[in-house]
Amino acid sequence: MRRRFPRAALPIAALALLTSACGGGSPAAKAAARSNFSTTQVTTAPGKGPLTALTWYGDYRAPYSEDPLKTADYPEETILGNVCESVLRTGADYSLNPGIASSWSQPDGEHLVLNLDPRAKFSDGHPVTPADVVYSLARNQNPAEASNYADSYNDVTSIKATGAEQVTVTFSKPDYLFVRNLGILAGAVVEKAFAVKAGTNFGNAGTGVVCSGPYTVASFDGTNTMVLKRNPNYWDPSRAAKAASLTFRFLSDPSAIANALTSGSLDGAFDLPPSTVSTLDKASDGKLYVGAAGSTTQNIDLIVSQFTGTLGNVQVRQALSMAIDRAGIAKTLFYGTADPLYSVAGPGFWQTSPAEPIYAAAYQKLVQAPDVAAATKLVQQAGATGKAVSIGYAADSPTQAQLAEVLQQTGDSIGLKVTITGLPDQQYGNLFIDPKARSAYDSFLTINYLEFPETADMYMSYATKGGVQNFNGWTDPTVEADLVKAQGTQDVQQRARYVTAAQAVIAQNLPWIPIVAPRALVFQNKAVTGAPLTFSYMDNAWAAAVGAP
Amino acid sequence: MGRLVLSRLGGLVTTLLLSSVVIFGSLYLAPGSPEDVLFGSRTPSAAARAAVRHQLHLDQPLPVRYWDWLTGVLRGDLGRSMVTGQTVSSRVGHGLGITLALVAVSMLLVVLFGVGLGTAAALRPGAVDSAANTLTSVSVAVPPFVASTLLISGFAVHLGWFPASGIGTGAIGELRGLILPACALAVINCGFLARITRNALREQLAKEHVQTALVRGLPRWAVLRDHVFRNAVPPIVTAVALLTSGMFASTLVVETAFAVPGIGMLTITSVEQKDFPVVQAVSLLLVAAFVICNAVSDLVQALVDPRLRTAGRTV
Repeated sequence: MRRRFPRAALPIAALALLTSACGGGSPAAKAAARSNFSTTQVTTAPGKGPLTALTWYGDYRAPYSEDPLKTADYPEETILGNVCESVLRTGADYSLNPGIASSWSQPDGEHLVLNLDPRAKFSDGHPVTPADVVYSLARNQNPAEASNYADSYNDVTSIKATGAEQVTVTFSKPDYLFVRNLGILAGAVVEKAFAVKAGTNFGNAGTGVVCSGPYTVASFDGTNTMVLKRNPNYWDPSRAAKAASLTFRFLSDPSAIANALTSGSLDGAFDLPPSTVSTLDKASDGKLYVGAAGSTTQNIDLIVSQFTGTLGNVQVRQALSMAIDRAGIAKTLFYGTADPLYSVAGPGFWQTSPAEPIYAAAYQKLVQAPDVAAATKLVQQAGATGKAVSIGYAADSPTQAQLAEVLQQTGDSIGLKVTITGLPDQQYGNLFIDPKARSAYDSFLTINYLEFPETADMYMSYATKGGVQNFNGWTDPTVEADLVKAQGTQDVQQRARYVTAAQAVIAQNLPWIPIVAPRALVFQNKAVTGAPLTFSYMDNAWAAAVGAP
Repeated sequence: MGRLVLSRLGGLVTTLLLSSVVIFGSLYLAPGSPEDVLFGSRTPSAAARAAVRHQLHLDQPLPVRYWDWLTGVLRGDLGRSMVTGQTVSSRVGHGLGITLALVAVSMLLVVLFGVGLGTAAALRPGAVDSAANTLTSVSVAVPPFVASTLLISGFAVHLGWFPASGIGTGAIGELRGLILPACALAVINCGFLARITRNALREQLAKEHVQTALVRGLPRWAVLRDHVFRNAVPPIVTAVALLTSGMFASTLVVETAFAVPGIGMLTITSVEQKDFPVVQAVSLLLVAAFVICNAVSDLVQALVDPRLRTAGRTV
């Protein structure tokens, strides 16, 4: 449910791209990068030995805060899970595992009981008590904390300590989806006494946090590096960190990232920009892992801002979607490291689910080859030929800029008059927050993701009344009903049936038009191993497992 | 001389004050607000937004905020970063050292090679002059971002002599990490300085008093030292000062390309995040760099040319 902020890059990035494209033939002419590991492999080879120092790519900017709840974006979600553990632990295969809670159960749909592990200790040696857990979870509901995960707690009515080592969460309606939020930073546990004392400075670079993870923050300069050190008091020896120190560096320029990895100044990276693929593929000091189709939950979509303009007509939305050459976009703009996407929650959301056959069958029905002639006809039927459509995009992202141009050509080819506007970071960001800002455009591009693969959650975020990403106000009573039923259904097969029913309606109405789904791109130096290959690195203590080969 | 220094200092203070008003005003007039950065993708409740705005003093009128900032600066308090909560001086301090070192190394290269090449071209007409001319023609056409890409792929990625990204630790490591970025900045400036040096020396060499001195049989090195170089210094010093101040601005590009954690990187990050106090501080540093470079160049010229020492009285 998190929006990705536009990747910041100076014009130099675009120039570097241009020069490399000129030197090595156009990207389209190159063979598309193929996945080089199977979907069943979820991590690189396990790390065996200890490491003195590990340096990793902390994504495109430094975290704003060390508070796990403040901002949900790549830098925070890549790093902070190593410092602040959540109630439950999400495995590399996205499975939910014991974390601070050694077991959990739902006696009925409206209650979730968490039994805490009595061994759990904060980095300062204090035990993790139910009071800490209640305080940490309830922070999400406190408007003054402005948690980025607040929407996940919409249906939570109470969080109470119900025993010496027990916490019970109560919902306003049956909810079997909420528990997944306890496996991401929405369920992160912080020490209450420290947080209360720190007040508004909690999480600031000077004050920091006290959590129970395998690493603690050793130093953070706010701009260029964040250094973590191994928590010597970590309470679960089987999951203790292998590297004594872990340094994150923040780079925004794609060629600077590629150079840092090929020259060994960085040991590894997740979430690499597609333009680094051609350099990293040839690296001799490490390996670029290119995931298979559906290896992340990331989805790139065109969000309809409002239904008053040309895109207010459902036929026009269908026509535009019908005409987009998704396979071409994936191959050329993403160097083959993306796949066509026909529903916002694509294979990355259900490929590993036991209900995969149900989802796959429903998805297959949505797959369509681009058909410009039929789309043109549809636009004519709608009486929209020659009408204007505007698209806003993040000007700092070369990929978004190219994508916007392709969509403009697509729209023009079916008789629409598409204008595209590149927006600076801040103004682009405002589209997601400020209704006034988005009213200036008919639509805008997004790179969206959910930290865990749960189809129902993705659709609830933008296609229901209370959805945090429902920017255009689209609702449908059957979708609403089906998704509420999905939320209250424990059986995953039955839940999949409800969700796919809702998906069929959403795909017809297209409040968001899905375009492509990027694949996982992970780089790892030969000297280290153990990094996850799935999107599970988000919000988790993934670095503890990385060690010497 | 003392008056000249004083008048320059007065100029510096006035320039900084005026530019601080302009920078402060333009930051707040630009669309977007720092609290939106902090809220990320979530639409905050009105109360939460108001609380954060109050905490960051964004709810006060612009003149009040400017006055608070100005009085803070006079007390030596540059404020706190709105995003990370660190003091601005701690965020700026570390990067400033690195950027100063980068510019110093780069200017050393520029002066060494620029003046050297220009002198060779001026004193050796013919083959040396044409070779130098060709070299400078190429170098003035290589802006820092192109030089960065070429240097990284050649010396860092293929040869592996220098780090491609970031700088090392310790004085030696930092210096090693700064060499390639310094070269990237120096290439274009070397070309400019070589051309200016060549022309300045040529102009002096053609002067009648120089010709007369040479014809009278004075030693060539003495004529060059006392009559040619000394008189050619003012335009060269002016050029060095202008190139140095311009170089501070170019660090924005080069530091990003090489991932050097200096002021340039900090500027870009904090502008993106609308971190007003940090942007204000780094922008004023850039302004100060310009003013100081020009003042130093004037002082050096006054030292070289006694006629200029009285300038303070008339300006």
